[in-house]
Amino acid sequence: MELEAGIRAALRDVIDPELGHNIIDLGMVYDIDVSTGGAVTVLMTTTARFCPASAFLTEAVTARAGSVSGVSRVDVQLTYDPPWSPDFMAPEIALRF
Amino acid sequence: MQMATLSRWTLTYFACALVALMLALGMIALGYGYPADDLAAPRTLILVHLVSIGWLSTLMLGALFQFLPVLVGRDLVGAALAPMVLFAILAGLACLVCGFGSLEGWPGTSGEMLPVGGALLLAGFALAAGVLLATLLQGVDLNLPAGFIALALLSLLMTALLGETLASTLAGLVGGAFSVAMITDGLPLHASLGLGGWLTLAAIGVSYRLVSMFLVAPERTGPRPRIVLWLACVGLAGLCLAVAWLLLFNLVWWPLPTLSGLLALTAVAAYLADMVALYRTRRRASLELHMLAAIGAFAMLAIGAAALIAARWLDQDRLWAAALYILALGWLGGLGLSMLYKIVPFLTWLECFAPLMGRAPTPRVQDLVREDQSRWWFALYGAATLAGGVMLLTEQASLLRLAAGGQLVAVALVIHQLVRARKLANLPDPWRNHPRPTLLLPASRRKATS
Repeated sequence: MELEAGIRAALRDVIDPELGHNIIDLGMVYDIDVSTGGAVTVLMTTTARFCPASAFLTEAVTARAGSVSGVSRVDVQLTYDPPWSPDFMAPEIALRF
Repeated sequence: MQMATLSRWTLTYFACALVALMLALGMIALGYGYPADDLAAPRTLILVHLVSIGWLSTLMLGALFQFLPVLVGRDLVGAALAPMVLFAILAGLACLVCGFGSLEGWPGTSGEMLPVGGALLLAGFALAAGVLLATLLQGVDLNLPAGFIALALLSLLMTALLGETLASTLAGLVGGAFSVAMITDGLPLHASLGLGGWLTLAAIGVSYRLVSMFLVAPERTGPRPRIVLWLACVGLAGLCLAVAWLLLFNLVWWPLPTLSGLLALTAVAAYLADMVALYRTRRRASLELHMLAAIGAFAMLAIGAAALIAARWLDQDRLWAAALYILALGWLGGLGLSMLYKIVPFLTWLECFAPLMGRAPTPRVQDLVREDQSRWWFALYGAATLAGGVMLLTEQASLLRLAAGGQLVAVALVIHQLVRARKLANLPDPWRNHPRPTLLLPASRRKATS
């Protein structure tokens, strides 16, 4: 749990370029699975399917999550099931949107 | 996971399109074409094709080469053909303009340049349609916007074919009753297929997705967008049948294009209702400038459609001219300019800052532009375009020139902002000295996906 919290904190540095907020508060990260040995799987989405920025976002997530102490390997999986919805945003972000 | 790549030639398409727009507006400001000349005079036709091919079609193709892969989740098939398409279109347009010029007695030109230009344009557009249709057919997600774009591409092919036939007729290669029928009845069909079928359907398809994305509004589902697509489909079929009738019998059976027009107007009304619904259901409270400017373009579509009804009813040149001016420069041109204001900074951001994400602080896309300045230029463009339409309607030639001058200044200032975005000149200090991209071509062929 502690490692997952650290990864979530690190991923707040990854800003969606179009919406201007971090991907955690935007609700784009669906799940973070930490295995024994520090192998991490991040299940996430992007606001638009097939967007040219998608690959850069996954690379950024890999880099930020990989920089957290205790993480040995990062696997980022993109999913569009369910597709991202504004309803996934944190309430405080939705208010300022 | 399929993802889209950056289209290497899109910015070059945009630059050529903007040059054509500046040329056309400059010529109108100098009093070239209607109303000083007839509506179908060579000088007017030069202007019409500079706008419809040089500005709008080049812009739309550049945008589709980037956007269609994003829409259907498939890399562009034959992306390397993009420069050849651009060359064929620009060379074809140059020949066409010289061909029209020959009818005005331009030295060094001849009528044969008309069919040569038409053939080059047909080749360029056929190549572009082939690339885009092949990409579309191999797509992962064949959605509603893709349906509109498929119809638009078929219209483009029909427009180019009819255009080449008209060019051959004007050059005197075709004679008899067919040539008379082609000039009198083929011209309105050519214009309807180009402005309505190709450009408007493509703009509708692209906007269904982009407006939803940019406003963070739920995509339109349910029967209405499908009704728009089916109305467009049947309307287009009516136009194609009218073309076939013309080719077979040397005349147009007018119930066909009239029915197409009625279906098109119903489709436009339903589409505009969908756009209003998108703005109303948006989650993004404050509108960015490009979406604010797009409201003006949607309003111009409504005004232009109403003017078309009046023109069809009263059949006066000044009404046709005003309707086409508002639709071409207000609806299609206004939407194009507003989307450019978003797409150019976004492509620039992807090129310069996307690789730094997660490793270093990056600016937002919005930081590349200065909306506080640019909103005045968009307001000037919209007001001047509307004024231009009114001046055509009231046959005030000198005031039309003034309005076109206003549009020209506004476009030049928007271009200035786009160039500043490419030069990263609007960014705050931390990024001001970041290496700049080249102005027209992306710096590398790096695939923007994993």
